[in-house]
Amino acid sequence: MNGDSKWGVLGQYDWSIMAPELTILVFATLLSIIDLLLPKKTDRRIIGVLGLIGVIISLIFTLSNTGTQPASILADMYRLDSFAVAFKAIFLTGVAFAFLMSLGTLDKKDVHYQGEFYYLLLTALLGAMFMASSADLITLFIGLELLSLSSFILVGIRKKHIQSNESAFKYVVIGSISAAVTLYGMSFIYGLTGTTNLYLIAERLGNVYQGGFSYIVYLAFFLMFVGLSFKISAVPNQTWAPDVYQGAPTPVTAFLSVVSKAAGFAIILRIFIIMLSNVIDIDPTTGEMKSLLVDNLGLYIGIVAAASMIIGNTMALRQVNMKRMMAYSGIAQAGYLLVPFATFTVLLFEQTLFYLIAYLFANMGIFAIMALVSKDQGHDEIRGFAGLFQRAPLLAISMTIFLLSLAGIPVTAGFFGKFYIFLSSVARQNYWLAGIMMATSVVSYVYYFGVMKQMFMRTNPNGVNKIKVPPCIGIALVVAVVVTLFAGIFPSQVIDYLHNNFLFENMMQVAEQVVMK
Amino acid sequence: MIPASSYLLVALILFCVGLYGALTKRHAIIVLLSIELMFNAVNINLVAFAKYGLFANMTGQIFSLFSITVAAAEAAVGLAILISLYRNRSTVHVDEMDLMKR
Amino acid sequence: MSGQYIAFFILSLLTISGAIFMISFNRVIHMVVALAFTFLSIAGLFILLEAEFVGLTQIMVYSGGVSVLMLFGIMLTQHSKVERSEQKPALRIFTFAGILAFFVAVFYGIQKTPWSQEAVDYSTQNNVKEIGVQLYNNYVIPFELVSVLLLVALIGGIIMAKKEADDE
Repeated sequence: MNGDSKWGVLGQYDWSIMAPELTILVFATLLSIIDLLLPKKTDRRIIGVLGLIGVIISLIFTLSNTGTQPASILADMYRLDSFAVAFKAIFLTGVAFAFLMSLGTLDKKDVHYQGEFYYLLLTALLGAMFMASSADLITLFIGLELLSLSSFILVGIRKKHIQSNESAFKYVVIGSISAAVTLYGMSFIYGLTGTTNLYLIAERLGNVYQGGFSYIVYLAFFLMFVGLSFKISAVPNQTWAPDVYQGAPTPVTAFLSVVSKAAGFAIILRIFIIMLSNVIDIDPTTGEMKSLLVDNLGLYIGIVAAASMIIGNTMALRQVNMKRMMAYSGIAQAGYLLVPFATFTVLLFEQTLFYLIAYLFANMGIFAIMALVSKDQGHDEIRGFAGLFQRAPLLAISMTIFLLSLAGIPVTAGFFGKFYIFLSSVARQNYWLAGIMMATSVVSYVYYFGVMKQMFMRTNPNGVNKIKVPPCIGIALVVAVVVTLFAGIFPSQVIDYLHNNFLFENMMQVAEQVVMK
Repeated sequence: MIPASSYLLVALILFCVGLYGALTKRHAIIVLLSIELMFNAVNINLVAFAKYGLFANMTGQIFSLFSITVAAAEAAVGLAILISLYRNRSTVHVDEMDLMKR
Repeated sequence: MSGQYIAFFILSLLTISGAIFMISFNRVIHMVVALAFTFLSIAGLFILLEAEFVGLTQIMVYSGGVSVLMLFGIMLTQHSKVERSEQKPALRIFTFAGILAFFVAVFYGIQKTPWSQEAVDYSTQNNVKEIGVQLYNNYVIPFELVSVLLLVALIGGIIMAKKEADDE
């Protein structure tokens, strides 16, 4: 390879570290061509199977990067570090579940464009992966928009379905407004630092903050935080979630509630932690030095977290539609996930990731079962779960495990996820946040147990016919149950694994530019 | 020299007008256009900072090119979704989109 | 020097009045035309800021592309040409108050901040060439990602807006 011949500067980089993204890109474009060439009558599930293979190959590439030193291409336009690897593994697993779910339950009459459905999931995934794996505002923003645009279309893909159309339009409007608000905040950051590279921004922002621009830094932070809270459906920007979740096809709802939300957390953590790392607030009277992010903004993030937990959990109580209930539950979970960021301990990443893993498998399991039940019943309401124990005892038992995990009951992963987060807020003496977390968790038991009551104590008016479980959904459920129980019984092993193999501190290191030798 | 703050002020006014339009207008196409206005306001900010910012350089102009592309793509997808909605419901009024309110 | 001031004054006046008219007109077509004026004047502002390429892109994409797209959108969904009374007044006043508060907060920030007093002089370099060189070197990754984004928008636009002839 002669680097400086034809490709100029671009030739000298080792592009192979980008293999996971390139795999997804190649599969997405190839599938769009295959879809075009396949005869009209052919079952489009073949495209789904190929897509799933692509996701698995990419997952293997991603995991093979575990524990590597940080590397970057073109001054952190693309950046590979432990933070990126961990989040990308979560996205890929989530999308693999969404693929299994779609292969099992997607109806040709419902979704006319099945081929497009599968490769739009892949492009959305590509956007999410760049949101985790870049340290440049432009690339992060484009990744965010690629994820958003693909999900707008996926939400509206049931064209005959009026609810789907409506929710897609609402999603476009609210999504674009928040994109514009995020971008407005980014433009101020650019104005203050003259760069879009997060590390350069961090270097310059500390001085700029002292030089009379503190108000604009605050302003930019709030604009960006409000805009980005759209993706995680946290409080100032949560109103879209119930409508969109209800209108979207179930695999897409699962994708939005797990992958899209995790991507939102990835971009929020990446941008704010690096950007504000050097910004120090000096108290004019005492001369005390405080970190802006940890000491001053932590309070605001904590308020957002608390409000999300309260609104999500109380609104979930009065829902009769299962998807709407899961949407409000998702808002509450976003609140729990913001607690480690608000309290900011050294274990921030381990706590967030453990909780995300627990949330990923529990949520995916619930949506997979929900897809089966609503297909069987013809509606998404909670009463559809009535008598599930008689009709499919195994489904009912695994559903119970997932619900217990989301509620945070021991022996499941969710318990330890909440426990670690709770400990961090107690350790930082943030008792009010810990108190709200406890209280809202108790409230959440009511609606999670409401679903269980339907499954075990009610009988279904439509009779006790058995529910057939397609093999791909079966695989997904087995994996989800095993991981949920394993992480619930041996949580320290999982935390140790994360701690030893992912050196999250290297997110702050300036990476070596990988140059071809 | 025109001070940087005058450009920022024009951008701020456009951003606020766009936000107001996006939140209150009932005609869906006007809502989409108001969102475009918000993106335009951001572009003015970026280009102004490329000339008058603290460490001014070309990056602002390049960022604004990306944001123009994204905004146009969003407008196109928004309109396509609106048309598919119109086929089913024959309405373009945002406040009639209330099927999911309980 | 004063010519620049006059140009800025006229262009920003046109920009803002176009936006205000867009908000206050009743007929949808008039709204779009008012906004097309805003888009054009923004392009003028860009050229005033020595960003010729961005200005021309603005004319092509917004005044050309988006405005016409939206006009087609109105023609295709011709339902009521007139924007009827808006939301409940209480909600509207609430929104207005919120946005006013936001405006005051940002305005205060912009005014009290000591922005730098010197500007970069771009008149000596070739704007298009400079953008091209940077775009294909430093920004090649987001550039390629944008091409995927446009592909998604294209596919999405087709499958969402296409009329299905073969309804099973």
